[in-house]
Amino acid sequence: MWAPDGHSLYFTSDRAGSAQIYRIAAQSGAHPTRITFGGSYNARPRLSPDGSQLAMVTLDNGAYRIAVQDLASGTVRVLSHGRLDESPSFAPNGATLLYSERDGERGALATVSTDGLTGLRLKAPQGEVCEPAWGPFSP
Amino acid sequence: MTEKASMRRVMIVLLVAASVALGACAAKRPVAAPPAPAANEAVQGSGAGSANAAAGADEEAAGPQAGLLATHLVYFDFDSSEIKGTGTDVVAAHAKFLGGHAGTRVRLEGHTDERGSREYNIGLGERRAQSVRRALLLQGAADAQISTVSYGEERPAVPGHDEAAWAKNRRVEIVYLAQPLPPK
Repeated sequence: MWAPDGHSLYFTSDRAGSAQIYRIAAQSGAHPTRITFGGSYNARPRLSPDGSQLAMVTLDNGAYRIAVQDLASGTVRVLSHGRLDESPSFAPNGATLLYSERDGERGALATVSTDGLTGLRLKAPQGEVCEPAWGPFSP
Repeated sequence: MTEKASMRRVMIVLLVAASVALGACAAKRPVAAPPAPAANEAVQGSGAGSANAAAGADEEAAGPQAGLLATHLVYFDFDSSEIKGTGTDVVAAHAKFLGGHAGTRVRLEGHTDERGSREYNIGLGERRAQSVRRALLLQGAADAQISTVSYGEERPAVPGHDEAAWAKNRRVEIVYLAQPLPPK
């Protein structure tokens, strides 16, 4: 995905043997820089609107969970606690992430704050939902 | 704006997002039997992979059934596109058959288990299909005989959320096609 400043792209690659996230400058001849190093699986990068935080799907003790990496310090926090959480999407103010999880046999939506302290499960009576995207405009 | 009104607006945005996303999930249902040709074409029409999408050219055939050729499935380890174990022999048998039947075409359908990101799994399914394609080419099949497509995690062979189910879903299906290659 594009960095908010439009100067670089973030992508998933398994060039080093496992899925990791890389950044490459959007100019010819640029070389990618590896961004994630923890664990064997970090995929589906999404940047916060201010470009300071990277949300991803990470393999955490056998479960796929939503994690956020502070790009300046490299610190990674695992935020969600599901078994198969995916598709993180930042709120326009960067404070909350929307993502999908497995609710029994169905896909459902949930939110978690980027400090990991509060979360919300968005219960739908029926249907299979996945790949949520938060609208880009603040209310 | 009051806090309540603001919250309601957030919820509306979420609902819109959810309704948009519904379409992408619709295919995530186990397919017990090989998919019907019509359903297949619809999926390929959406441009999910590099399959040959020529109209009417992709009807499936039973394919050869003798010995190892009766096996049309190649299984993979977690997050791997390396052909291993009996998969090696199955691919070799199909390569030999294709080498001896120059007009026969196959479509290689790459699949993954449900774990991890959907986007990543489309890529992983493609790498599995390409891995089988390369092995077929090295052992006598011709490039024009093979097309590939990745369904990622969207078409599991069996339902379930344990290793037994996942192992059956990490696969490449070798699908023989009814329409032969035109003679040179």
